[in-house]
Amino acid sequence: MNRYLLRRGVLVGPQLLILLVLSFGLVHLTPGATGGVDLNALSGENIEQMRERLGLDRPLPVQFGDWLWRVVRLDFGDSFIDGQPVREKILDRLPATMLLTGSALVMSLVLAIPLGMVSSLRRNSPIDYGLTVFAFSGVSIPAFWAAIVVIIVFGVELGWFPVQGMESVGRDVESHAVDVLHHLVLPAAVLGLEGTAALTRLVRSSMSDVLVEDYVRTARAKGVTERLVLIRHALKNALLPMVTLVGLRLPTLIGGAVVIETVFAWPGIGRLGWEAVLQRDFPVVMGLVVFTGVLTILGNLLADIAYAVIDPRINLER
Amino acid sequence: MVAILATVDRATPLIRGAPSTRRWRWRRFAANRLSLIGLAMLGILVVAAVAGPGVGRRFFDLEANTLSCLSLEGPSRAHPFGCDPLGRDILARLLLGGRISLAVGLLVAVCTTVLGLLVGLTSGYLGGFADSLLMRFTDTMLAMPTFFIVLAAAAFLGPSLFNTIVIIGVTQWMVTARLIRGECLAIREKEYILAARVSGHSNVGIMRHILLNVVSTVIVVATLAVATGILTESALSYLGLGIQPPQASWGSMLSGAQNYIFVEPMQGVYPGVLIVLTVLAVNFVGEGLREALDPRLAGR
Repeated sequence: MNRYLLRRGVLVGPQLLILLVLSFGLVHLTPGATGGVDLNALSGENIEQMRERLGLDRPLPVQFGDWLWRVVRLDFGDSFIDGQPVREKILDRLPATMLLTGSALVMSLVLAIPLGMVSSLRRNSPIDYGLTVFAFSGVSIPAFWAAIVVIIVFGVELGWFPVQGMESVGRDVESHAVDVLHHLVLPAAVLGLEGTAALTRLVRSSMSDVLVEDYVRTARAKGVTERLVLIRHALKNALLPMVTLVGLRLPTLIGGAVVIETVFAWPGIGRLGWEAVLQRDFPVVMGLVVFTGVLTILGNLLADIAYAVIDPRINLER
Repeated sequence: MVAILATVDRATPLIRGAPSTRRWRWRRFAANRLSLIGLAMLGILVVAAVAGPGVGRRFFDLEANTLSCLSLEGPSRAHPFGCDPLGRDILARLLLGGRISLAVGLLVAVCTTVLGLLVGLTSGYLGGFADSLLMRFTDTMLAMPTFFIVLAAAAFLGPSLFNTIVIIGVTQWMVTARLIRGECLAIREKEYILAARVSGHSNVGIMRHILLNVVSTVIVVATLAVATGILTESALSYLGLGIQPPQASWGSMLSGAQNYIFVEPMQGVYPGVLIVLTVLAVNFVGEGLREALDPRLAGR
């Protein structure tokens, strides 16, 4: 297992490099982009001067090296809009996004595992059919539209949940935590919907694969109760691939967070990114792409390590 | 026991080239009622999108970009779905938006398929260093928060129909590439490839053999790419970075209707329902094709 972990760990190097080259290229090779430097404030003649002073006339590889060295020290520059360091802006907004995406992920897992199991055990029954339709609908509904619909139904018509922001403004609340949770319900539910639907299908198929394995038959043959067979023998094995899949869901979750945070005015990095894109705030955009990219690469690394720890077979296969 | 029988049935090998292959595939496709429903829905949507705007203009005076009625006018005989905030006929815009959505979906699928084939075939055929290099790149792209990149690229390159398609395509080819590489690795070791090699086929000739054998996989993932393309385009247009006015898109119609959602809630419903129906239909058809073309993948 150590050799596997070592090989997997070494992979992070090239992955990070590709990520950095891509995000640098995204900004620097775009027509009109100035590589994270605001030239709007300048008049025509000064632009060339400014390019020279800021080093934009140097060869791209040199600029890349320079930028890389700053990124390594977590220095993403300052925002064009308010001059605040990008790092601080991101760290300020990060907890809100972690809370939102974390809740959505937990919701997906808590719902998808039992639903997928039921679907698999009652294959081709009306329940399975209904869950299949649910799963397909869940991945076919655009998140922003689902958000608009729940805002109208649960926020406005029924008035059960607040629909904007993360906390109540100008109103006394008994407990801050309860207030935030109250605000969290709708955005997390909408963000978690797609994941719940997709994971339900995956649990169903991996459970169906496991149920025909010899060890399940053996367990049944030796008289283990059905309940134990399903949970201890089948489910435990069926959930193994989920570890990797949860890692692979991270980019989708962050992408979904951009949309959901925008619709619900949730103060996270997704909304920060959308605002930065609209305002052409290049340093913030670059910082966010690198930051979220590094987070997902590390998330996948963790998932793979967890997989290797849980599944002893990985040693032999690789 | 029933479950075991079901698996055996699912794994029944497909004899390629047998006279009944086509009928056998159709039976497998039609065995799932949802695939048939999807196919019917998709057929209606395609006909409506292709013929709808022309028929509407010719016979019912439906103009998508003309201010033909009052702002937010309710449904009437002349304007069955009412009018949008600017006073344009909603039905006409829905039909045109469908055209855009389906076109974007199809072209995104073409884009991802071409890129996926290029990377997947090269990787799977060459193997070795080129393979690991390409696959590390693919894995990294797969781990990237692509929607951020899509947003940024759309804003920096300037939002347009063409850019929307290319940007989505360039960030969605990875699954296709990995599946094709996997198939290619397996096919490379088959006897008929060895036979082609010893009978003196060139690399290109052998690639052609491999290509013909990954067609089923390509069709299935391309269908799913259509769905992803439509969904991503609608989200991008909703955020104002996709299809630009005056072109109609279901996503941008929703963001336009959102401000008037309490006056005319139905205007926020039509485009959304159409997106869901289209993507659902494509996904159902994709699942049916998967069952028909690639029995090993069915039910996954």
